Amino acid sequence: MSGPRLLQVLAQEFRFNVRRPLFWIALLLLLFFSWAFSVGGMTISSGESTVGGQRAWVTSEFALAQILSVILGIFYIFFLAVAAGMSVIKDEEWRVMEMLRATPLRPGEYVWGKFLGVFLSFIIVLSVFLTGLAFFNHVLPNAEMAEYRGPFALVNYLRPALILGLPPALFIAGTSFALGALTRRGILVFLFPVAFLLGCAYFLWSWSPTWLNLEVNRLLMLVDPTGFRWLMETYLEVDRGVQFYNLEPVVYDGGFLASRLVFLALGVGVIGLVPRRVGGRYRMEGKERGEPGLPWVGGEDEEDGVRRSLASVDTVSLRPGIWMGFSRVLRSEFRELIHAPGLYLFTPLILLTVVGTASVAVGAFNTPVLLTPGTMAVTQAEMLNVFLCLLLLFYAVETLERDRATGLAAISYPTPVGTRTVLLAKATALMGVVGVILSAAFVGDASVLLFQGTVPVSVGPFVQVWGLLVIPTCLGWIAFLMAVMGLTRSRWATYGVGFGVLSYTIYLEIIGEMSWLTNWWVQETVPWTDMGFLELNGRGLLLNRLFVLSLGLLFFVLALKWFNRKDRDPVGLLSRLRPKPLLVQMLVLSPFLLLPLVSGVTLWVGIHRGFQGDVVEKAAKDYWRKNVATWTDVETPAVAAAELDLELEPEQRAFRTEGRYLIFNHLEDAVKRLPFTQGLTWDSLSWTLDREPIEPKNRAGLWVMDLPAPLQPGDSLWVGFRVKGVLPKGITANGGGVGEFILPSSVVLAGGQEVAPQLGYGENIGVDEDNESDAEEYAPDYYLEQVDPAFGSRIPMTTRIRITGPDYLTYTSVGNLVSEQRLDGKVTVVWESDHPVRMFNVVAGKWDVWRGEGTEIYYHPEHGYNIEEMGLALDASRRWYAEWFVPFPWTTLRVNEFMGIADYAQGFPTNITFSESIGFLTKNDLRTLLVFFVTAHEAAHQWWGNMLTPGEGPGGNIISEGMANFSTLLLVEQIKGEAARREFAKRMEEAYARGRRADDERPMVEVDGTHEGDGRVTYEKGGWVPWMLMALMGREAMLEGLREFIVRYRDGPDYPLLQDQVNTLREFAPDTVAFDEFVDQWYFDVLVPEYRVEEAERRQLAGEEGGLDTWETTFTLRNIGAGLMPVAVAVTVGEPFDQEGEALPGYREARTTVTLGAGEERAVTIRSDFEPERIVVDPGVRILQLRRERAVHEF
Amino acid sequence: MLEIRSLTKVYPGPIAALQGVDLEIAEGMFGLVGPNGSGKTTLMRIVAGLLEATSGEVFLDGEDILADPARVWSKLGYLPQDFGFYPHLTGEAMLRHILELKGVTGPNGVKAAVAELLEAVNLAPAARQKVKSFSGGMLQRLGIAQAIAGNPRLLIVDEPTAGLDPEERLRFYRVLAELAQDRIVLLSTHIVEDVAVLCNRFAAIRKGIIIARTTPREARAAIDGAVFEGEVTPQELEDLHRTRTVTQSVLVEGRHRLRIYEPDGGPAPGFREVPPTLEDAYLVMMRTGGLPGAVVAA
Repeated sequence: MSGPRLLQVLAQEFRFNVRRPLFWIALLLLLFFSWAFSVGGMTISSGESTVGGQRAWVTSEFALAQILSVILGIFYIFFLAVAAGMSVIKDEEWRVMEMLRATPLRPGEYVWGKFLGVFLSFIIVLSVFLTGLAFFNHVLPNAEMAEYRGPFALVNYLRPALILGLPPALFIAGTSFALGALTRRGILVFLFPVAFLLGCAYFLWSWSPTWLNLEVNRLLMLVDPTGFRWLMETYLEVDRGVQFYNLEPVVYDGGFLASRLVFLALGVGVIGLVPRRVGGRYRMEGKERGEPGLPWVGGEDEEDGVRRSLASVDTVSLRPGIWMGFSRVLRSEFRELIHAPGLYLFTPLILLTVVGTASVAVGAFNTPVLLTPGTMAVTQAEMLNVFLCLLLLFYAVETLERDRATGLAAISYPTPVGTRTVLLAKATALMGVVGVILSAAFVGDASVLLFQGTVPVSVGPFVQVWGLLVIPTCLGWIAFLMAVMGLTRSRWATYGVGFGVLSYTIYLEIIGEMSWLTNWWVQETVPWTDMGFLELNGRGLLLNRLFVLSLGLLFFVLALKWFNRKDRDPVGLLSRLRPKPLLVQMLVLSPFLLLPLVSGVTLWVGIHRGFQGDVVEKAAKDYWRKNVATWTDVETPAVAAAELDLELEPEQRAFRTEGRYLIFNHLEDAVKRLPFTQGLTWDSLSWTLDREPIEPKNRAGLWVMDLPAPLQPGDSLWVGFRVKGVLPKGITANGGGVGEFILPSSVVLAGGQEVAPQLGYGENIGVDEDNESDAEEYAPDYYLEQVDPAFGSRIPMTTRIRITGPDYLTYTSVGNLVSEQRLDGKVTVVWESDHPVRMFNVVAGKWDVWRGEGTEIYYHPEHGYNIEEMGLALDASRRWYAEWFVPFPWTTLRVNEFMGIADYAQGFPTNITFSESIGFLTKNDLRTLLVFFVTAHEAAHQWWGNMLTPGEGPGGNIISEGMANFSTLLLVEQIKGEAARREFAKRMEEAYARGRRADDERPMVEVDGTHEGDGRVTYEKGGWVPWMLMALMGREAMLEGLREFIVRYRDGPDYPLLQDQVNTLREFAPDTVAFDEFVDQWYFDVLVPEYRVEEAERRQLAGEEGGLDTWETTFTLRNIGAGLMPVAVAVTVGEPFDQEGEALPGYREARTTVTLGAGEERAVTIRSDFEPERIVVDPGVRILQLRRERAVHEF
Repeated sequence: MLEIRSLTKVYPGPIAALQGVDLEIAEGMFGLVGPNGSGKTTLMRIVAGLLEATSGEVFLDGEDILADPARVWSKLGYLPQDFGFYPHLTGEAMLRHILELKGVTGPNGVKAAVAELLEAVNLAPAARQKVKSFSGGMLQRLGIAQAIAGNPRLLIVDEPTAGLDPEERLRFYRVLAELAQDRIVLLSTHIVEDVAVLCNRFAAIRKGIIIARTTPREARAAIDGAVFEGEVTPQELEDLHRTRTVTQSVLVEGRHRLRIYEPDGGPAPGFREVPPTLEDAYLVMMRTGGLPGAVVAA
């Protein structure tokens, strides 16, 4: 191998690469990302959220490793792979191979020179990115990011670059280069990064259910070239605390480092294969054309006179019409596409990904969801748009470039088929590719649905969703690419611009800055619902699609103008840029400009004026500014009765409310003024006081009513109101869902604040990241004060809700239905509370009804899949909670299904609301139990939340949500058995471990929902800890204590916090010392154990115990976490339960109990009369711990 | 009639590739001869509607090619100097694709027309072979077949004999001559022999300027009596190249046989007058910028 020759090729390739647009677009894009990441575009989820709290630095080695692996996997790879893969193909197209063949250049010199040239140029891109990061992080002042910035350490940049950056870069570049050089097919070059992205984004980086086998998980970590999965699973999935991330280096284990070496070797090795294969090939290649071909012995010289003269061949040229030309070009394009291998490679790949992803899709608690045609269509539409845009980028560019690249352009361009016809046919052919892939995806989906066997296959949702979400996006994208290609006349520039646009779009998504106006590929905009798809987002989506299509039309017109088969004359071009010709051009284009302009402006105005737009945002801010100083913490009287007459027009989303509140002064002082908060999008509002009209003062949405006479303690008065409005008003900002709505097929009004004024000042209205403050800090003895309820009326109230609306809907509210009248297509129902409540809701839908023992489920007629299970849970809840806690005071317990534009369930008194995506469309099995769980959880809120309303303060919400989960654990054990209880407890534990913030986590008695991670402490830890406490106290003592707790606090006026619960339970604890120790650890501190089994050995002790073999297992048990809990540890053989949760006879275990403090370890020996298969810590799932799956040793 | 008026093309640089070219070309074979880089291909591409001119006009039977090239593309047959095909298609499929784009058909349909054309250029046996396996000559013949398909009114052939062996070249000459009987054939070449054999009219172009519009006979006549031939040693050759207009130089048995152009004076010693060839005339034109006397209008 000659060094100078290799260097010559290297230098040539390097010079070529650094001059082309692909390189510069990649460079500029990564430079932009380096700035974006330096201002917080991506940070590690750790640290504290309070002012002055420690933040995760964006400059730590962990942060930079995370950024680098994501940048590589999503953005950098496409530029690098295309540049490397097309390197040899480009030479072939430019026909320089023939020349090179005649030089002394050896294949090895050529291949290595080319590869190193392109690789070096993209190493520069990566270096510029890192330098940019360092510059923006450490040199450019940015006061807002000061607390996110640590000191400069070169190693933080270099080590991730070398370990996480270099190996995948070399692997990607090498593989892509080899693909291009060996196959000479651009499609494979393009396929590779697409497959890489699919593999990473939709599988390696995202699919990690906790039940995944550890060894499989480890393998997946190692096969991820970017290292992102390894980083997440090893360090980031479970928060290690901000100090750790900020100060500690990333410790790369041996296996991972070995995998890096393997990727390096693969990258180099695959290049090493190329010279031998390619060398032989390109040395020989000339033979084909050099061979003597058929001589031209025909023509008029032919002695036998058979062959005709060329000139005498009777042909005629007819200028083909548009349709004729279109069909001919289309046929030709289809033939090209059908013969291209891409379709056969991409289609299965895309199919595998979309269908595979749908098949393993998980919902809450990592549980599989029930697949329906609609949910599959929507989920896949988003993926398909990504894949198809990438695929079309390649196909569009190569289709347009084909004639130029092969040299046919000189012949095909001066043919009479018009450019418009040619481009239209090419676009149609590209849409044909889209059609093929959509059809294949549908077949795959239908198969999955058939295999699932629950929900029938239906074409409608696929046609509807893909027709709206995918087809216009592809049309717009194709037109855009054609315009770029026409303008730049460069394949590389078009690739660069295409990747640039895709990357920037993904970036906007990552930072959450998408709107209908920028979301051209409609990601996460339209949740599917079987109950009225598009009722919420139809208008926004329609405008968005119009905008995209009209832009597509404009781009297509521009492509026609720019895609010149005639090479432009520079002088002519300059003359066309003069004002007058430009004006003429603009006039010609104006109709096509007008369409996107009108649709874009309409969309912008719609977003601006919609309920998520600037107008409402400003109104909310004005409300806050005007009132925060005056009305925060002002005590108001309570609503003792609410009477609403609600008239709904769901087709118009409209409502009219006429109602009145009985205001009761439960305070110690007289009240002179009453504040009421209005909905910010209402059209009109008027008032009465004791039936007389009154004009309160409007303080930017807070109406302050000066009372003619002070309302004395114990007195009450009626305040009436009339409201008119629509809900939700206008369009969403970027699709998605809403929690409360009046839509033609479904109505949810939770709490009534959207349709009736609320008494008091709304402290959360108008608060966002610009004006949010740290939450109130409570004194440790705050619970001793009289505490207001966390939600709902301050005193129990009665309700009478009269609802009038179209009679195709059924309307429910809290309490009992006392009357129903139907007239002229309308129905009027009256619901009255038969026992006082603190909140009310209104729900409507087109339902079937299931009735149980004092229970009802109102559900969409097509959603009967889980009704039996939900009914079981609802009946069991009503029965057992009443038995364990206190009797159910109302007549009926009801669940209402609403459309899945929001994913929540809410336990209003007697009238629970469930989204269709929760419970109704969940796959139900022993592992998931989500249907049972969510029903039991929401039902438990009748006791924990409604009968006993917690106080507003630290730990209050744990009494509601944590106790609902605790109740669910009890019910799962009661109804489903021990195996189900263990599974459910594991799911809760895992959700807590993954969602907690190690630094930000506070003791349960201090949790107030304002810190990141509070949710998981409130729900999951809040449910687990009482379970462990019950094990300590004994079941009956615990339940007795809880009964007393409810009775003591249910009627106020002091509403309980967590200390109140602990103090009440303590009265029932048989061992108060043990109780206090437990409470100190779990309620007043943050100490969670994490166990590891190490140095495990088993040996057979022959001849003991009457000749039976005995096994002795020795190991070291360590608590690498915190806390001090007696934990069972067992050696086991077999599985304890089968798939149905039945105990298996072959399961055996021998156990002991070990108590370990933080960081402690102990040698443990367990003897068994069986050969152990594994060592399991806490086999009964009774101690909350972190990473339980690692506290196992398999022999 | 193909009319080219004041045609100018300036490339960035600026490089004047064509400088006010005026030509009127009637039916028959018209040659455009000039050295590489003289502007021949630029002129061909402009006339074919593939390159925008800086200024000037080109009409084919009164239709403005520059304003709307698509209007004349259905009347055009074009064999470019440098072209390619889709390598993965068969010869038959490739030709059919082009014919369909051109709107070409025959009495028995396009498929039969393809078969006849392939037969005529003797590619029928290779019709099912992929184009990537074709030899240079076969590719050129496929190009010729597509160019003449559709009975074009204007046939532009740019350096058409480049990939052909002598025998094929002769056959192609005959085809072109036959085709030129009822259409305009514009032949661009730097091989004077092509013009001598085929064209009764031609123009010589140098540095973007038409320096002669004439016929081969007139071109030869213009230098008749001024061309001399003799044999010299290598040393003498140097001197003659410096002092005389050498039109041809051939090495024969170790001595150089030279033809020199002497319009004014007598021949060098040892040289005798010979009848001029078209190549002599061409080289005189290129060296001196024209022919003696007024340029003969074509």
